[in-house]
Amino acid sequence: MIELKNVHKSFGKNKVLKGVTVRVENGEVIVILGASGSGKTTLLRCLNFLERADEGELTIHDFHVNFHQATRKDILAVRRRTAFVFQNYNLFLNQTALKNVMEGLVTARKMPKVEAEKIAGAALGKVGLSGKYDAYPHQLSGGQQQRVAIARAIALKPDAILFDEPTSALDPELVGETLNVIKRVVCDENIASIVVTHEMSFASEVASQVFFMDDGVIAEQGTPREIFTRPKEERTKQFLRRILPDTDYQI
Amino acid sequence: MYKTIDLVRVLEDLPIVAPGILNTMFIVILASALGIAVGLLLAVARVNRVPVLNQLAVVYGSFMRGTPVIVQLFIVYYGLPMLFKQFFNINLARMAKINFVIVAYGLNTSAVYSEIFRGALSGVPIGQLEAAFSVGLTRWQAFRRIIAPQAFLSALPGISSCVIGLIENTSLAFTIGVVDIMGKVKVIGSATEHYMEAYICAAIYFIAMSLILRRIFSAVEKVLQSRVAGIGSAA
Repeated sequence: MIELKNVHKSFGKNKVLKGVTVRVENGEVIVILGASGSGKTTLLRCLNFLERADEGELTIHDFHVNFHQATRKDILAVRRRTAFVFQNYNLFLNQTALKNVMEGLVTARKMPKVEAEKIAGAALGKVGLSGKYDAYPHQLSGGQQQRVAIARAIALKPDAILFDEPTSALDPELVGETLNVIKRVVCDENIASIVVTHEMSFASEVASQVFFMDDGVIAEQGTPREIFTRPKEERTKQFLRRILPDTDYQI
Repeated sequence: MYKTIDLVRVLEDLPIVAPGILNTMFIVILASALGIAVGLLLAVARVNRVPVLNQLAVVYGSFMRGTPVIVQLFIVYYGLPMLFKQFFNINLARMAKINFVIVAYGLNTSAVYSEIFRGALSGVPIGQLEAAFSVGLTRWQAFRRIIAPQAFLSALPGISSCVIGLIENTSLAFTIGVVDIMGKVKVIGSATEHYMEAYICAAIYFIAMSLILRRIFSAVEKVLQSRVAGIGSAA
């Protein structure tokens, strides 16, 4: 379970988040939609302390922290309970696929190498890359790199995985395979997942709940069915009209 | 009377100059080690914008790169003993001259190294650090495991040219009386009055040393490229 309460964040005078509250249960997949600049990515980055939120609270299971009071130790604890999948993969360029997956286990969690290797191997198997243990990132395609990044995330057995537009840097033909992998792993593991994406079909298939963000707040939330077929808010309707111009949906 | 260059004399001089190589290499190795250590500290201070240290590093860098190395050599050689005498009452006058040369060249190259490392460190994409944080690494672990190896690889060509440049710069050490290659040349020259042959002999040794070092560095670079980033190795 992961819960964000009343998160505020400004960059200078620009208020990006104006009190966002999100709760995700284990095994649930939350998809966050919204136009660019609405604060989706900032929300994820704040959750993992890649940005420091100005205000708000974070609960991950039994661990509770206040954003602006978080100490270095708290931040590390949050990061060791969560995993992040980046838009542009961010695999460690100086390490092979297997080492990439092992890094967090061995260096951060002090797990013995043999054990970490087993877990990393299994994680790479899950994303369909059993044959690529020794490949360096530059020897892998974008889709393969993102799958390694997903393996790196699930190997940590985190309480929550945060996906930040995981397919938007990929070639169109690679989007499908990557989304399938995400679908498989988030359903397999009993993890709370938050996915920021523009892939509407993914959202409607996989999401337990869809959050629509606009101008730094959650404008509307509901099941995919509710959001896609009966959006209540005018700005949700406008957004969906822009994103799904050809699909007919009922208002 | 006009003297022509005597090649036989060049050959005779070669073994006499040879022991000077030891001192030259000694200076190059220790001064590079000092320069790299100080340079790394300065670079880290600048990349992380550590208050005060950052500004000091900038001033230090512009002084070191804005004054001739021979001036710095004299300042260290004559100034350091005065400083130590006055403030710590320690007498450095009897210390071996070569130590002053090492300190002077170490400080001189540290300014260059700090720029090389600064460029290399800020050349590592920020996403690498964020990814390291996201898997639970501390800042130090991220630096040691992810950032430093990548930065070192891209700093290597710069380090190589700085070390090779230093070999040539050490030829000024004789001015304070250190008997390195140029020191030997001076000795031969004043004993035989055949300076030119001795200079040619020195040139041969300098070229040989820089060629050998260049080879070593490019071999190291190749090995590291495949070890660190898998470049040139099979998938």
